[in-house]
Amino acid sequence: MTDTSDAADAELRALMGGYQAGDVEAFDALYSRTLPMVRGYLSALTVDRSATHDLVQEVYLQMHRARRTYDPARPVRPWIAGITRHVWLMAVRSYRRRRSPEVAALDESIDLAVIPDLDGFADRDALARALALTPDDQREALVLHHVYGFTFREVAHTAGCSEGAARIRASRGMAELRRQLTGGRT
Amino acid sequence: MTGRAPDSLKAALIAGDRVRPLSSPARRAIWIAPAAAAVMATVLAWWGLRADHTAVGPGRLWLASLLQVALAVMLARFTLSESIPGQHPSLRSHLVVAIAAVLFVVLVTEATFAVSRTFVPAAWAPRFFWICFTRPIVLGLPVLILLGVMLRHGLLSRPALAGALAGLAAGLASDAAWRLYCHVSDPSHVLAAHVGAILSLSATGMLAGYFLRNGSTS
Repeated sequence: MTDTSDAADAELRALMGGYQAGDVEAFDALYSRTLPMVRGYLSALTVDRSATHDLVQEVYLQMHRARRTYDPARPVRPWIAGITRHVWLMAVRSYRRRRSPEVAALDESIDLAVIPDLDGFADRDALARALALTPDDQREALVLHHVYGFTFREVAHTAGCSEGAARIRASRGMAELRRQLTGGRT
Repeated sequence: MTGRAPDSLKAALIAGDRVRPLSSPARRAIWIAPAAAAVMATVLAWWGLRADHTAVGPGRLWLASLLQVALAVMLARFTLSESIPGQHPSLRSHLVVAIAAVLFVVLVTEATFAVSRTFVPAAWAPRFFWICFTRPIVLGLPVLILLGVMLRHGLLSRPALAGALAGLAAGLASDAAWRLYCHVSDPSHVLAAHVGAILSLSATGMLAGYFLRNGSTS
């Protein structure tokens, strides 16, 4: 991790410590700092904007219920990503919803411009559409690693797969994204 | 959506509700060791030590059971990691540990059979099977419940998987105790009754995880 992300993580850990100690203000600050990632990750998982908005609040409620499970020695964002994934899984199981590409519309909170390999590619909408068409597991790994800077180990522990599988998913996702953007011309 | 938490959400959260972070899965898994020791003490106090213990020797008897308990603790650690968001082990690593655990039991069975060949008379086989199948299950249930309680403190995305692993850990711990009493080393008996009990506990855990998931903190 870079110095900047180390500092950001230290700040999140301090806020999480305050939250576990019962400080609602700390929760407020934690909420504002993690909301973009939660929305972006949910958006990458569901590809359905209305579902994303429905699930965001549920993520924070689950976070509150599960706040004991946060280990202060570990980074905060993978823990929150794990809860986000849990909420998504529960929603999928509850509603038996399946992703359909025609409703694909990624949430604006995913900053696709940060993916360096995609510099100069199409406009933001085209990127969002292409990302929505990549397979679910690849999109998840790609977004966590390339957009939110998770290490492959953190991606693996969030998605419940091996580190090698996380690396392959992100790599294949990037290849698929590029293929979508170039219309198969690579 | 603004950068601040909505009031409706904050209202759902109780101010001043301090919580103590859970210990790490590795540290909590250690609790399986005293539970397994209690099961061992129960077996030894109630039924006694196996008749062929001198032929089997301390290495194949005590050390093997202790190693099996250590394996159960390791499995419990993997199981508890399942309940911590962002710490989920991969399915492959779960599978490797589970297969290693069953292989260990098979290996110990063969090692015991090599030094003390004891068989069940054909007429008694069903009765021996029933005893060695049901009693380890009963003895393992408290360990499974203990692990279940610890799992419920977390957030389970894969409750059936976590339950199956918890059952496997409980089965290993109870079998480590039961083999101190059961003097039948015939692999067909051990694999059918003892390993059958371990796998049944695993299936029980899996079913419990599947049906109880709606009642968990998730």
